[in-house]
Amino acid sequence: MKLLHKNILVNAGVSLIIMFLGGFITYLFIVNKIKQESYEHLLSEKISVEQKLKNDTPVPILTNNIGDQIRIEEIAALSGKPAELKTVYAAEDGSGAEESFSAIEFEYKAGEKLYRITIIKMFDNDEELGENILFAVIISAALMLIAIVLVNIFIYKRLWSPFYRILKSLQSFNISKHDAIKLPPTNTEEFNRLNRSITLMAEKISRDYFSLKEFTENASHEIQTPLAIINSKIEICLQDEHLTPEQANLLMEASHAVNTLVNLNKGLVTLAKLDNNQIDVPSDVNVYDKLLDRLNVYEDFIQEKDIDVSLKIDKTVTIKINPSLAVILFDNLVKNAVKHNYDEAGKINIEVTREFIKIENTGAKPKVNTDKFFERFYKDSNKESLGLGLAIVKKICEIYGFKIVYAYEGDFHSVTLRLNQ
Amino acid sequence: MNTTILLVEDEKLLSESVVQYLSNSGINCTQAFTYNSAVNKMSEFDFDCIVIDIGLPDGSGIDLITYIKKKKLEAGLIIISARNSLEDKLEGFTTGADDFLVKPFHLSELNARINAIVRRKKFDGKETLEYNEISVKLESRAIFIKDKKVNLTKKEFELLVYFISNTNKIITKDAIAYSLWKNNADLAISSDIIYTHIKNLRKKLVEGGAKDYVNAVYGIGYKFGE
Repeated sequence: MKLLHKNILVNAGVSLIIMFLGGFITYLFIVNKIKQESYEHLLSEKISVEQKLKNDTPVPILTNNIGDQIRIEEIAALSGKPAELKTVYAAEDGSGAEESFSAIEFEYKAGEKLYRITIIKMFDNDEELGENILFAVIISAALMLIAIVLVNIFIYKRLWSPFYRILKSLQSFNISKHDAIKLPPTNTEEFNRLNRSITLMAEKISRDYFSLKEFTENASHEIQTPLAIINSKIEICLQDEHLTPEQANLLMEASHAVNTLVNLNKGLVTLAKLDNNQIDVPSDVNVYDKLLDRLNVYEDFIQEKDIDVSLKIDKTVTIKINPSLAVILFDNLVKNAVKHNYDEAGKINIEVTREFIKIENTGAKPKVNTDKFFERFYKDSNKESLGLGLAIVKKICEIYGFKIVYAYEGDFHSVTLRLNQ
Repeated sequence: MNTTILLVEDEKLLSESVVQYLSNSGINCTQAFTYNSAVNKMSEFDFDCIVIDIGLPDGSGIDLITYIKKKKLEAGLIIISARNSLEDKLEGFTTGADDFLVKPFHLSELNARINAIVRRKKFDGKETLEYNEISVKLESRAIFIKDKKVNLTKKEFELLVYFISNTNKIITKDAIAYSLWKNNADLAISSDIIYTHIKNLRKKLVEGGAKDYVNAVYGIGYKFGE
């Protein structure tokens, strides 16, 4: 969820809760206060009525100016109950509907007569009061909500714009170029602190990156020379006419092992370069062209193994990728399809649409877990592949966001790249 | 006259291997282990070809090439380097190298490349590679056996050139695979393709009237010669 929305939600939520809580407390407080006032008022009315009864004022005249309703009932005997504050239902003049009001009920002896008297205070009934307060609270809450939303929206953009500018700078930062990261200065302390931290971190990462790159290149350099020496000595030994077949065999095995090391080193350097994302700007690469190019390169082997190649390629499909990496990617895919194919009469099917690139080849069923297929050094069957080829393919797909899936079905190994366009 | 080369390589063990192999092919090798030593040797003698390692203790092989070009020496230039980087290759070629070989390389490969460069310099394009009755016109990529033209495929042609450049040397299958298929050498080694091509080449040579110079050396590779 976006920060703005979270902000609004929290602000509005808390405000609403407080509003209603406050409103409720206000209501209770006011109601209580009014009840108190009513009581005191009714008490004084009581005294006034008692006074008038004592003075023998005729009953119908016993009204007063403020609009209280007085009910007087003659009773036979005093029950002895003390004066009681009650809630009474009565109809206001003219309205007809009964509402609740505060009233006081008491008994009084005036001379020989016994009366039960109820004085009803005919305004500020509780329900109406409650409704009014609720209405006020709701209006305030609504206004506050609108204010919060509007203020948040307008202020938010201003407050956070330095942050978004920083984000933009970060997104365009490319570690494989030697530029320092450029962060726009702000007048918010927190964002300036963020700027400083990011700059320091970027500098450190850059330094580490370049020293790692250097190390990788130096390491591979160092490894190649002893390998070259070993290879050359073996090659010279092999020139000896007097070698026994056993000796020749030993030397060949040693030679193959060295070649394996050489290929391994080359593959590792490629992977390391990819890991460090030592790549240049991508461009639009036509898939059909690149695939055809690779098929040409492997033409000899396709003919040798008598592989039947069928293509179903949309010639307009392009992908955004560094061209050299595209070559490596397709080379590895085609090479695998040829290498792990049957020695005779195998098939390769290539299908390319705007959504995916699929290469499938006939071949022996894989013996092991297909999850491990793309890990480094995975190796299946007796072919001397190191499995680095597919690890490199996976890495390149990771860089460009192509989802890669391997499956084995009905005699075919298939590798599918989902293009994210 | 024998081909003369200067080998500028600081790794002594490797340098000795190269010298030993090339000398057996009739190439005269002089060794230099440093930049300065190379400069000295070049001032004493005009070599046909100079093989330069990029990483020298007292300088860069690239700078040496610049020096050679400045002195307008006519030697062919081959760079050898442990680094397979595109930048190094581009730099090498733009500075003036004729060829670029990545370590480790097969000695037979280096031999073939040196011969190719020296031929190009000596015959200025009209090169003909000859071995007994076989004559290979490199420019037109045609071969003649006793003056009769024989048609070879691209790979068979490359194979023949490689063989003739390394006569009487035992060439491993790996070396052939690398030379003809480069990065796909592993594919070639694990299949029968090398055998197929050699078989076809032999057939065409013999049918064309040449002796069968291709000898299989069991377990190792092949030898071209009597």
